[in-house]
Amino acid sequence: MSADLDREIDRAVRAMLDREPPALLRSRVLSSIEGGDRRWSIAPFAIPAGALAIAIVLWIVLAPGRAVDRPVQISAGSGDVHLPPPAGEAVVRPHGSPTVAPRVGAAVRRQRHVVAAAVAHSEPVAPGIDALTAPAPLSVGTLPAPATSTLSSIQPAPLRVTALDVPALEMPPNAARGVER
Amino acid sequence: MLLAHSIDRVNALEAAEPGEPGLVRRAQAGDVEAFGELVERHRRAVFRAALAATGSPAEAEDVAQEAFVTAFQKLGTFRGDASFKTWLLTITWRKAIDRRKSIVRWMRRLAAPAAGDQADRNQMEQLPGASRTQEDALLGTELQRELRTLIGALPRKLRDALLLAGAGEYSYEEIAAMLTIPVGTLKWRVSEARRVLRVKLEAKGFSHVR
Repeated sequence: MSADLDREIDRAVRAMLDREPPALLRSRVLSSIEGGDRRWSIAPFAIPAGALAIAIVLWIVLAPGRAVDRPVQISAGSGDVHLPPPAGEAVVRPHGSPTVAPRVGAAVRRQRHVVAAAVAHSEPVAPGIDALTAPAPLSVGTLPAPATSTLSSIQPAPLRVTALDVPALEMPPNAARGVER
Repeated sequence: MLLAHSIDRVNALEAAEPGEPGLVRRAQAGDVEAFGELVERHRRAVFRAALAATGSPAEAEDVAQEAFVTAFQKLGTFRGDASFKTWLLTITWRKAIDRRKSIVRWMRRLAAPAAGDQADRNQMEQLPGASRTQEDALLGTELQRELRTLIGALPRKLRDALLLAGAGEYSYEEIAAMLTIPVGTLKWRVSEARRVLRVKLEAKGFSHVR
């Protein structure tokens, strides 16, 4: 190996590593030793912490028991619409105001609008309306058992082609005159 | 009595002009300032070893800091079999290799790939000083640029050995301890790296360099 190339290689290597360490390295090390900097110690946990956060969000969103549709109860005489709050959420009860759930789904909001419209068009003092009774259960008669098949074979029956009886046509008058001549 | 007096005198001398063994003993006893002095003495060697492994000054800073903190925590395990510098460099190299493989580095590269690659290229394409003639200067510049590119493209085992050996900061024994290989293997890797570089330079038309 030539000396010139060795010198060039060493020169290239020294140029690649020709950097000085940061001036504050000593103070940073000492402050870390004395319980200061945790900058680089957090990084290895960044990904697991992020994955855990995503998992928690998914669990909150997809957890069961978060149905939106709830039965609407109309109490007698008040004209108020009381909507049960969604599961797991506290109901905000401001002093002297009707009870309204802080957050309701879109379907419940639509129900509220329908009921409010119905209430608005009713008499000023709405009569009491009893709660709907549960409908009678549907009774479905049992279907008769299908008749058993009497076919012994599923092969198609042979075609029966009857001969056509086509009567002879009468000769037209012109043609008849031509024959007579 | 005479021996005890001699030991006290040596200890006193070390306290007045602390050599490295004295600093290490004081640091092992919990003297943070003594350890700070050791950091000051070896910060350049540690930083450049980390730079040789990671190729990034920013990551080398993190690795150097982490290595010194780990060394302080493990001072009780230092028995003086090797020099303190060798022991420290061994810790540094291990931290640097862990960083080289770490997911943190992967994430940084994902977050700012252009910046990281450009910084590495800038480092490798750093221009050398002026040569004898203008033509020599041009050829030298081009050769240096090509060498840096080729060195960066060497297999890691060859590149690590060549960079550490060429840095001028470490003895072969220190490098062999860092890489946990025999000195003979280290010398072979350095020689092989130079041979590969020569072959590649000739293939690129740099046959004038002999």
